[in-house]
Amino acid sequence: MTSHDLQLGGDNQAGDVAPRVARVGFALGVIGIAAAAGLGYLTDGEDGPTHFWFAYLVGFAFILTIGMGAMFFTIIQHLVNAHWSVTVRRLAEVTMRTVPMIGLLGLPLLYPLLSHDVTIWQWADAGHHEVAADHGAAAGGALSDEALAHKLESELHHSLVEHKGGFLNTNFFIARLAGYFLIWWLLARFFFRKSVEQDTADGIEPTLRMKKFSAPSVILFALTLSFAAFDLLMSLDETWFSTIFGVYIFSGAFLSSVAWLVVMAKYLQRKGRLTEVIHDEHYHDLGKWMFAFTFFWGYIAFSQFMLIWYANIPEETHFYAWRILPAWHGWSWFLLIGHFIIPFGGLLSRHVKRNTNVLLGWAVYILCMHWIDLYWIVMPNFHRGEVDFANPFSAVEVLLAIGMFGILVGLVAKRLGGQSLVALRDPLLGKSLGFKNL
Amino acid sequence: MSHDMSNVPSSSEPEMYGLMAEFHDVNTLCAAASKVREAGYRHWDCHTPFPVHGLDDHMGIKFTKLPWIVLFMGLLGLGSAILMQWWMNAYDYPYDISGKPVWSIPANVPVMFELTVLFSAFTAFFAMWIMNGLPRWYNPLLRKERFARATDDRFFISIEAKDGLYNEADTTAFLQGLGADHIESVEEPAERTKLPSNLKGKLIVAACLLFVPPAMVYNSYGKTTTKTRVHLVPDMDMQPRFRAQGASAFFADGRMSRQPVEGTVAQGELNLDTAWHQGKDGADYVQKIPSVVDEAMLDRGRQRFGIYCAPCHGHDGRGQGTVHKRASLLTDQGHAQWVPPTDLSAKRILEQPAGMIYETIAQGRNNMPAYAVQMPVADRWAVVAYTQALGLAQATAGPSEEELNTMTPAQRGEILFKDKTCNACHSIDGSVILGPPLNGRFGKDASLADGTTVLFDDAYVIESIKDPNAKMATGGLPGMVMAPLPTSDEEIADLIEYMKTLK
Repeated sequence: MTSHDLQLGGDNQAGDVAPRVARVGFALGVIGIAAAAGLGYLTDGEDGPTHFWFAYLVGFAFILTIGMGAMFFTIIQHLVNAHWSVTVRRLAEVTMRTVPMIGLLGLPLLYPLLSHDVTIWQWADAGHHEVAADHGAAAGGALSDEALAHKLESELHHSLVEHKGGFLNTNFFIARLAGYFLIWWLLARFFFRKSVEQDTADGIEPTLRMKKFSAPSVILFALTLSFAAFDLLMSLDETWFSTIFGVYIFSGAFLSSVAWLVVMAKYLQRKGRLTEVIHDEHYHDLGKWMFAFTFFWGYIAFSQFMLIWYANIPEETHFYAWRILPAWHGWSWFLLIGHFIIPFGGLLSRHVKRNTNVLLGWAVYILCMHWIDLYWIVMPNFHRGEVDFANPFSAVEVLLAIGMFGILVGLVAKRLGGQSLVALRDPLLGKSLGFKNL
Repeated sequence: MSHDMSNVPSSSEPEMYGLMAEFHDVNTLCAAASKVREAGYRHWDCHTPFPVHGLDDHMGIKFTKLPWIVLFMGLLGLGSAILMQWWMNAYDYPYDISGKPVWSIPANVPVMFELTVLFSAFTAFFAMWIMNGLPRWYNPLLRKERFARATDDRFFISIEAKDGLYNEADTTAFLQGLGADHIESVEEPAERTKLPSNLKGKLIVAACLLFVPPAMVYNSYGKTTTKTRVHLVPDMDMQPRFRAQGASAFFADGRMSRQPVEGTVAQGELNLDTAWHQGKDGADYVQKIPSVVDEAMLDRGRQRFGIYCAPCHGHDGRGQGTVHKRASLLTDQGHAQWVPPTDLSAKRILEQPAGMIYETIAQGRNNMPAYAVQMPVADRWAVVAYTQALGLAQATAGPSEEELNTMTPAQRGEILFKDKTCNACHSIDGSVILGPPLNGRFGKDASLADGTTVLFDDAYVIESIKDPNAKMATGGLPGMVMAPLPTSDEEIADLIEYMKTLK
């Protein structure tokens, strides 16, 4: 059977749903971000702006990882010649296509990077702070033990940051991020265009092209996502390093993007779209991905933790040491239990994965946990080194999370209307429609 | 319908296995399967060349219970891993590994994960076999030539004869009504197919041969030999490593072990409490043990004393240990020189400060070696406490065995008279405690309770001690009966000699 002959039932165009959702999404985005900025800059005291920019980074990373997870989802289906996923692949492609636009949301982050008023990447301000440190040392005289220890630590810190300076400097940082987004734009554009081209093509040439480029694309994806994670998130703690960190971010990205696909598919089906195309079998497989990557996330998170815990080297352990201080202790446990143990048990049963309403609940839950994961990675860097190492959770991050998510919804909805919601004439569409899990 | 009996031996009436119906397409098979289920058959099956989606529904096969079994066994694996590691690392053999707590979850997670996966995977695999009735070596259907197409392009339904509804004629008609292209009866094989007669022998030989390599390894490793050893794993047998007192060409001073960096102290070795760690307070020995001496400490001391001290000093601390006895023997024969161990009940030891005894244990004295390596500080103090208690007890107790040997029998008898508590009832000054006094009795007639008299001689004393009520003497309080005391003949002889001296 070739896809030319397939008669798809139901409504498979976004139609009027797309502009409506886009309007709501963008409105939420603008209001959320503006309100958070207002709250941060006007009422949050001296630290307000810094707090706002940290929270902005969390929100930015949140939607970027969902987009990037969708990119991996798209590429990997071509790489392994998967047939089950063809009916939901267009939703992933649309999500992936928003990554370049999300990149524009990253431009405001140049402000905390370059300005000395607000610092979230401390290495970017290393030269600025060094003056103060030298001044302290110049005072000379006999130092107390505590002051000596502090001085040694500070010197070690400076030598490390200096050592990394060839990589961690603002110019190279900006160039790298520009490079990542350029590569992501090219990947997203290629896989999106070819897939849409296939919708009206007579042969399967576009699909073959995508398969051909899927393998090198996965390599490019892995390298760029890892290094983007190192740059954007890991370098917040400029002396810390963990080679598995990129994989950790990837695991959360893919997990949340699959959850996002479930949310999207369920929403569109409730609006009467794709009703004859996506069925329980596809949700079952999406549920399997969610289950598998819930465990994969736990596996990677523990792998990172255990090596650091076992080796017990101070320059590595401080990452976890900060996160078991009273302000973050609860969050750390919450993450372990909420991001791993609870969804692992919850998604274990096939009945859960085949009950699409319950699965939707888990998808929303996982999206929330992914945000909490990123918050846990980013936010302890705010206020670090201060005596009252506090957890700054407030309305600022909630508003920013809603705002950023609104932007993602808006961007996706805007892309949704331009083409069919299903990859028409995909050579494997027939198999995808008819496949059954055992 | 055709009965194909060609490949069945005609010698005996074959037992029926059941019927086999052949279908040429999936839809007919599925429809037929539904009908067979509705008819109420229970012992039947479908055979297809590939998995047919929805066939389970037609056949009425319920969803497998396997996931629940796997879940249970997975949790069992998790629990086993936790229990095993707790038992090994935290309870049975706690061992400090890079300063981590003996029971720390992160270190145990990998094994918890692996055993969960192992139990789950094995359960999924083997439980599936068992639930499917595997391994099954033989099925009568496989004898049918047509059945080979079940792996190619035909679909089969088999109904077994053991089914309650089975009746060859009716069931054949029923299957025909379902659209079967061909129906055949299947017979159990007339004779059991036996294993090749020499297979068992071969298996036994093969199993025996399996023992040869381990036996050779044992032969090479497990016994004393003058031949050059076979090294199966040379890297493991001869590991390059530094030994504590070894020589090294690598370091300038030619030793393997390094001195600690000058001016440094190893962690936990600062030992500022000199009274506890050296037994000294400044330059002077501490007089008393610098901790509370309780029963647990004395028990510990007794146990350690038994291990480290008793071989020379003896269990009574008198210096008559096994090593001493053997060494003395060798010395007497001129084979060795031996300084006898100190009698720990000696006055000079009893007067020694506790700290000095501690130092002796830790550092050794004369030809006594140092025990600091074998005994931790707390154990040394426990031995000090036990030594002092033992010395005191021995000093106030009777003479040593050696001293007893040099005494006259009468002297020994005097000691025995007290040791055996004879003096609790018998006085030696003529007064009556409970029994008759014993002074001035030996060699004279003694009057008995039955009115007769007996000569108070060796025989009478021996009899009186061994069987006190045979001849009851008068002179004690009326109605008193002497209890027999376990006493050896030598001891009785000593007691007799003592009694002879009592005037």
